[in-house]
Amino acid sequence: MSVSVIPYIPEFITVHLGQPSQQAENVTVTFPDYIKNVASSEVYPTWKEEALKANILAQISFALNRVYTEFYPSRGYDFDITSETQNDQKFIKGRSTFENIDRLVDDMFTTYIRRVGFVEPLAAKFCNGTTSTCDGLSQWGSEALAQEGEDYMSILRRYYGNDIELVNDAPIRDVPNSYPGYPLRQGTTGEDVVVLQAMLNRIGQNYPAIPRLTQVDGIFGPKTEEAVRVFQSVFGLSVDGIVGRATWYKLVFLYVAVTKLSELVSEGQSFTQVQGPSGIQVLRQGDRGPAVSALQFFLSLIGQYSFTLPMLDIDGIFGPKTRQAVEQAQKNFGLPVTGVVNNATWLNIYDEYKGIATTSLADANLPLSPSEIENQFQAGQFPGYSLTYGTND
Amino acid sequence: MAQTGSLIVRVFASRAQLPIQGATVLVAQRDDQGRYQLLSALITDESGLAGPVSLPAPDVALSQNPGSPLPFSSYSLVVEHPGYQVAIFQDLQIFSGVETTQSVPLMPLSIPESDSPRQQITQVTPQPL
Repeated sequence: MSVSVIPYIPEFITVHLGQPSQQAENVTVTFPDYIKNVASSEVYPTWKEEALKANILAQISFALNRVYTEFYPSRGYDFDITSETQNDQKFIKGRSTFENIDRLVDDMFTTYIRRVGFVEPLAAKFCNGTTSTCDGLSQWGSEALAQEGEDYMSILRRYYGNDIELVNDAPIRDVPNSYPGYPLRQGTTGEDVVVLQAMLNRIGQNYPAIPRLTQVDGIFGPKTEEAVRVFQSVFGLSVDGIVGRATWYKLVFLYVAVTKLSELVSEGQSFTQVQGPSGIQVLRQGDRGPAVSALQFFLSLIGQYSFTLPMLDIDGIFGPKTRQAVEQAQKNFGLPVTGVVNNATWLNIYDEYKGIATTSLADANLPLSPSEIENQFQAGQFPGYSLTYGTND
Repeated sequence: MAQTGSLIVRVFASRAQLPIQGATVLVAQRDDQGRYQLLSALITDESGLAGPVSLPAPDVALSQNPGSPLPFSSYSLVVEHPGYQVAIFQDLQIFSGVETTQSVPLMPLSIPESDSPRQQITQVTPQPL
């Protein structure tokens, strides 16, 4: 089993919504969103801040340990962690979170615990301390210690030993634009401010409340500060006009997601005239070609809206990941789960795509204009049957 | 004196979080007979935001020690907008003095509408403390 040498923070984490061998959905969320969900599911937001910090660091470290050791993939599973407390930590898909916990996670998600002299994130076990006890952090115990005035490091040392240390600012995999390492504020100048202004403008294309910065000049002036404040207000950050780690990464994650969607939509233009392999009515694992690329494009786009489809490369090769995505889509549609794209599966996928194109994409500021989208989906027929089989369009 | 928490709802589509303006947001509470009382009806603004809504919550002291009754109040939330699946949230938790944030990614309805579910239900269970 190979592991990377330096632990990184994953951009996304895939959570299995059940016991490992149980048939259940997988959902893929950003790592900060995962931790916010876990923290909100495991403890009470009214607890002392030092207790919350200790618990959040344990949750981050536990999850990073799962990712770093490839715990589930090495056992043949297609996810990083489960949502159940039997083996992992509690996660409820789509749940609400608590603002104070969210703020702490935004500041802390690039920090983890490890044993001195070791590289891997600590597999920080925890339990509630009443109905279950364990060799690790007691959740109720941590709150009691915090009420007595202990800070999060002394709480963590109490449960995990004195030979632990924190790693700060761990690199985030695949995410460009690392936090500059210092907060950007009025008066700051330079390349980092150019990046900030570009991100604000791009995100602002979809958020009219964020004022447009007409000059991306690398000078953090009053206009830039105003844009930062509005961004912070919309996304629930502390509104101080200063771009610290939390604001920076909130911007970066969103910017990456917006550009990803735009790129996908642009790429989709090349699938307007897909001709299916003649005589073949279905697509299955092992197939190759433009029809598979079109399938992967539609599934990728749907996956941007329904977070339960795995991320796909649009490479025209129908491999195991594509099959998994087809199976999940069939589950979502209530179709027989075969992993084989038959007529019914195609129609469902295509109809879902049309729904997305005419509602969400039509309103959004993406490279395609609404009329181009209209033309695209009129041309993009299911490639595996001729028009004489005739669904009307 | 009754304690309160608050709720902010943010409605959008896709991972790119394209905001959905004009979505209807309904906050309700179920009584002992299982009937819903509508507490608040809001419309999302151009950033997809609705709220904050102030909602009653139990005394914060209930959350400080194990063995107490549940230290939060439970509410239901329904979010809808034409062209999208209805999103329903059950047992949304409100704690005293805490702002709860509900992010609502809405799923576009397929065209033509298929038999697949037109609503998405999220159910929160209490913390295993």
